Amino acid sequence: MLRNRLATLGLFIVVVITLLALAAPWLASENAFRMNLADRLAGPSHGHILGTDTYGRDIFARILLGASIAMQVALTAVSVAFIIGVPLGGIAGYMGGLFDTAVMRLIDALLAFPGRLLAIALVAATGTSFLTLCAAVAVNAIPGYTRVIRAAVLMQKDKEYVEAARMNGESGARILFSEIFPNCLAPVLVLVTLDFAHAILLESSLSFLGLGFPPPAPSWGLMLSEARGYMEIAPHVAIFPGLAISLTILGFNLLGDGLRDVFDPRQYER
Amino acid sequence: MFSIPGNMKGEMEAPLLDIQNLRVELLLRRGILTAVDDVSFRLREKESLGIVGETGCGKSMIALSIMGLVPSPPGRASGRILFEGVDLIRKKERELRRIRGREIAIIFQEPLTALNPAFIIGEQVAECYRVHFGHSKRTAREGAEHILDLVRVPSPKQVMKLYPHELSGGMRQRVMIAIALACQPKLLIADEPTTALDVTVQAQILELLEELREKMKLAMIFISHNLGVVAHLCDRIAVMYAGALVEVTDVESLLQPLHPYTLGLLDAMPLPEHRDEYLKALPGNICDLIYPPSGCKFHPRCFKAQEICAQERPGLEMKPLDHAVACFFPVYHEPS
Repeated sequence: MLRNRLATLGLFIVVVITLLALAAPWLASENAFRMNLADRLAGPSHGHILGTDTYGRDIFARILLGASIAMQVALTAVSVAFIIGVPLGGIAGYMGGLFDTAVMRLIDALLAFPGRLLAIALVAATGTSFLTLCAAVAVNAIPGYTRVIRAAVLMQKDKEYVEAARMNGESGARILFSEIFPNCLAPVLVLVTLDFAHAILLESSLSFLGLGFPPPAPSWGLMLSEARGYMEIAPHVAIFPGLAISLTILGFNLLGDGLRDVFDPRQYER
Repeated sequence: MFSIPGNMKGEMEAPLLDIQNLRVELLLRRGILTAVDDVSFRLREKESLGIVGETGCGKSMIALSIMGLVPSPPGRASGRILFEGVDLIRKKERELRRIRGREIAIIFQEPLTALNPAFIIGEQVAECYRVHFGHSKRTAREGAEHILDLVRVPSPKQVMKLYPHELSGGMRQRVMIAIALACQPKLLIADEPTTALDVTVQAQILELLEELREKMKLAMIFISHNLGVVAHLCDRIAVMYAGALVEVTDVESLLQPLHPYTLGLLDAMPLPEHRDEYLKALPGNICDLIYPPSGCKFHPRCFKAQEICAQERPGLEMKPLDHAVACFFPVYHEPS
């Protein structure tokens, strides 16, 4: 019961943030970039609900636009990871043998690198842009999909309905993609929500380190990094973007946990 | 040296299925397991053959090899499986796929696990039409409705919208039969189709199978360990022991079995008249298939075994009319 209520809260947070991210370009794109040096580092007030930053830009507007950036990166990265990781892991699990071994060792090698380090190396090598940022985040997410879907396929592929499909003259591809996959989607769906949280965090970290979006983009990580020097005189400049990151990640994690409970993993044991 | 068991009358007419010296070996770490050992039989169109034997005697392996689905590795099938004159063992996977489900269909033992839990019944029945005839969604759905009606699923329109777990066992088996018959195959293989069902439902399903076989002019291979069911449903019966055929006969003459093993099976059947007696079980266990006994594989358990049985292997030979048996000392008296 408690879990369900928490999951509902998570869903609520995710929906609100998604809506804000969608609306941000209309609500905030003007205020987010308008500088006002006379009004720097001002605390929350009537004109600026969350105060202003070092250049006197409205923090609330920047956070809204930051949500939009974070969601775009997360959506692209997770989609790419899904599109690459799921078929790869599925085929590996279904075919088994040498292909399976090769793919899984490759994934193991990928996992052996610390994810953040790999992303930093990737961005440092190819330069910062939206696409490289997404690629860096996606590379971190691919192993998860590959392994989860492979495990699910392995569990399904010896079931009799698969054999029945084979005896019905269906091809291997058809059996894998239209018979087995629909039965494997639940754990992947949970992973997608959790990966959104990871992706947002990773994007923020990279931006914080100066490897994400260049200023003046209102990325949450970048905002934190810009606020670093003023923590003592104007803590709100760092607190609000930090809160935005935490809240978003909390929302996705609660939703993911809730989904996992709904698709009780015990139902797959049989 | 293979003989042609059964039916001399049908000799002229080309058989639908002609299995010659089929051998299925599984290469295991412990050694080579001979799951099907030199099996030959023929099946004419519209004929139904029952294959009986203990668990693990290779019944299902025969079915798998006809479908070209012996898992390989570790499996290896050799011999010839002529279906309408074409050897299935030498066919390519792609060609086999066109035969599976289209020409030869199979019904499984456990209908719940054989249906995909993620799809509604309608989609699964329609699938065959889409795979084999490339029908559009709508025509496939109409075909599905028709075939479900044919297997007497009540109100097929509603049932098509249900998921497999929402149906009863008998209903699921009807759906399985519908899927198998959807493409009007020439040969139906039923692999213990009623084992998982209640006795009353079992009777209904058997009746349905018999009726459909008549209506659709199907040839059928019915695999079971239930002699009663097979005797009821089939024209001919093949008895298997440890991967080999030991006796092939018409249903009528099965009650006078020639092979001691068949006799043992018949004696082991519980009958209402003998309800106060102990069941007569065959002594011993089924033999090791990797290192089978020398000579006749049944000799260690056979009450008629003599020296020659341990040395030479009896071939399947015609005894009196239409009755083939692989035994040096066939039994010539009524079972007690």
